[in-house]
Amino acid sequence: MTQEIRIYLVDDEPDVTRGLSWLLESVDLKAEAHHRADPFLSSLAGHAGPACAVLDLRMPGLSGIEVMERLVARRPDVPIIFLSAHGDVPSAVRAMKLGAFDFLQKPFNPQQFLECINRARLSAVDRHAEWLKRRDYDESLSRLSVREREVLELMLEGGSSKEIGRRLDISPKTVDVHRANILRKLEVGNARELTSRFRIALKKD
Amino acid sequence: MGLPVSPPPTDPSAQTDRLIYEQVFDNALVGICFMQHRRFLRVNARMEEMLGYQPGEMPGQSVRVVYARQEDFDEVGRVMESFPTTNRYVHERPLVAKDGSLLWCLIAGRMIEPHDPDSTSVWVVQDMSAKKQAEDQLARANQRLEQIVESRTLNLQKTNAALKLEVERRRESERAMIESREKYRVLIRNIPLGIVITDAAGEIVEINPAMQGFFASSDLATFTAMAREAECTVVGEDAVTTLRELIAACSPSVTRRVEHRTAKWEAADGSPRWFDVAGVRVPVRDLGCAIVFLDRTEQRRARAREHTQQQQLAHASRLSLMGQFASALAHELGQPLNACLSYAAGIEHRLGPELRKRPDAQEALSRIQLHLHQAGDVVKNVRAFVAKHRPEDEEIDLAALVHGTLDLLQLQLREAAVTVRLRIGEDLPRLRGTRVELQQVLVNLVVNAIEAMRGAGVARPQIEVSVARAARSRIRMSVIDNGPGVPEALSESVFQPYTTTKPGGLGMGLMMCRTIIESHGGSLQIEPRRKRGAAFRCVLPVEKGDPP
Repeated sequence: MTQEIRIYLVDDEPDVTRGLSWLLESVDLKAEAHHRADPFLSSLAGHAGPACAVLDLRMPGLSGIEVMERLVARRPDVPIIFLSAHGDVPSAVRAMKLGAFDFLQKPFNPQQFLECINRARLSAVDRHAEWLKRRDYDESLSRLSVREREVLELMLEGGSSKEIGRRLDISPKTVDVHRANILRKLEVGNARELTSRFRIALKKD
Repeated sequence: MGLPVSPPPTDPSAQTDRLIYEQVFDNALVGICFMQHRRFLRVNARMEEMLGYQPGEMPGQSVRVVYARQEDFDEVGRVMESFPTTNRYVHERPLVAKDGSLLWCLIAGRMIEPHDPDSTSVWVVQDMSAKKQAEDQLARANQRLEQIVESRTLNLQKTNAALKLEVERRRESERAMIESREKYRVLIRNIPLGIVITDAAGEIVEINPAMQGFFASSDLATFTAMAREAECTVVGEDAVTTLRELIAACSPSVTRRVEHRTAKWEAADGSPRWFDVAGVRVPVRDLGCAIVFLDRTEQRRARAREHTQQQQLAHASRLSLMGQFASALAHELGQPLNACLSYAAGIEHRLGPELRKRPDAQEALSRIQLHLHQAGDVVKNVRAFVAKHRPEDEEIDLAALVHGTLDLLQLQLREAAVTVRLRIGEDLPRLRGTRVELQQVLVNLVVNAIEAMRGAGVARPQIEVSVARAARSRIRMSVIDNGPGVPEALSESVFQPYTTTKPGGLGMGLMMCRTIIESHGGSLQIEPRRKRGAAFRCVLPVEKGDPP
């Protein structure tokens, strides 16, 4: 895992981000701290690699949950750990429903925090790779015709030309033409390569 | 109403009756008016004066002009439809004067013919804010009354002379007088004021139906007998006296004096009733005094209700205050504890090998962490306690909550003479939340506005409370005053704890308001850059826990 996994700390209390940065540095992790949502969002927009974020639930301006709603649309691969100094259960429930990675109530055990960050970093790498594949797949699909997409879906399910032809009510010869076009358009050598490249994306469908 | 000696229906009798009735009507200490189809027919001088109209300006106008709100007008309309069964209406509500100012009035009314919707109704209106000036007004009224009587006596002599000369005109005059007498007779019979007339010797010679009703006496004889026995207490003197003695005490011996008392009387069923009693000498031969009884019981009860509401309000604020204080404390302590724990753990990680060589330092660091965790547990326990003792979330109709809260604050608003404008949007969705907490927010914002305006000596203090739908299924509630406003530089710091501009203030109110609104998933802010006054705006999601 040589890839850099960026850790963002977003909390309107500088005391909290300073303390957490120091804690992370002591286990050789670097974190980028922000005290408002906007600079964090613009920094993340300029970072293409995997990342995870620690967000305070209540901040002036955009709240933690609002930030999360924006991230779900832009960077769904970034795991989010919420911090809260209030005992608000409804917000916690809502954050978890939206797909938050974890929820910690201040004051929390630092060890627990470090474990949580490590899990989030591992997850960030997987989710990032998956997200890239998914984007690649979506982008590839847009290059294919409607019929070619139907053929591709059945190919990924492992169907032969004969079976695909029968399912789509066309001749196996026509299926072969589509196959060749698909491989050319998606710039892959053969069906096995195609399957390994798009399998993860397909699972999510 | 008749006269002590029943004379034949000749001119002098009609004259005298009319005099009494006119004097009662024109010089009454309370506003009296006749209405038909909810329009003013006749309005006495007191009522015109009270509401700031020119003499003769009100008759013909719709009653709507004196109600502050359309709801009041409609509500009284509905009550009047039930007159055939009750034929009695006593209530306190604000009336609006011609110049727009509000008066708190005690209003009593009845239909002269309860079963006839075309019937005239008679209303008595008392400006309660003017009660302290009542004595002065009585004296002035009495003076005026004497002048009027003098000038009318003179006029009557002239008229008599004219009558002798011109029979036709005499008859015309007589008819007019009888008509007038009838009018006042109807007034005295239907007016919701008790009236007692005594003769020159102080004997009671006449009581009106309202008086019979107040004291459950079917006729004059029963009343006279009862009055000799019935005990009542004069408020302020703590003296027990009989009703008869009270009437005597309120009968001044000379024309310029007005005697008045407030008395408490216990009805046969044991329920107490309060009356304001005022007597003036009637400057008519053979007659003594007119003593007027105004039923104050409803008003007293309203005061008692207000007192209970104030207690409830204080109790609710105490409960809410405690919870908010504890949760604010937990929040404030949570942040530094978190930072301390982070640093302590960081030290342990960084100095791992060195610490193993220094068991004493390792021990101290472990203890530091142990105590930090203990402090953290205290915070968590407080938070859990507050969460457990919070009332359950419920469906809240914000419009009803605003109305209810302003009712609770009526006393404070009235004392500070604040005019309240309500702008409640239609079709507001209900929201989920904690009623007592949201009520606390509104109480704090309104009381802050009252105090800010009072502190700045605002001449016509006004508060506007508005509730409206906002985008993304949220509701916006604003409290706006016309006080000195909040300086731009303080618009964030007023929400910090211990920030106050009030002498003796704790500086916790606005912080709690914000904590409460935020715990409902909403936001509370000061509207920036206002020319005058302060505007606090909270935005609440319909579903609690939704993002603001």
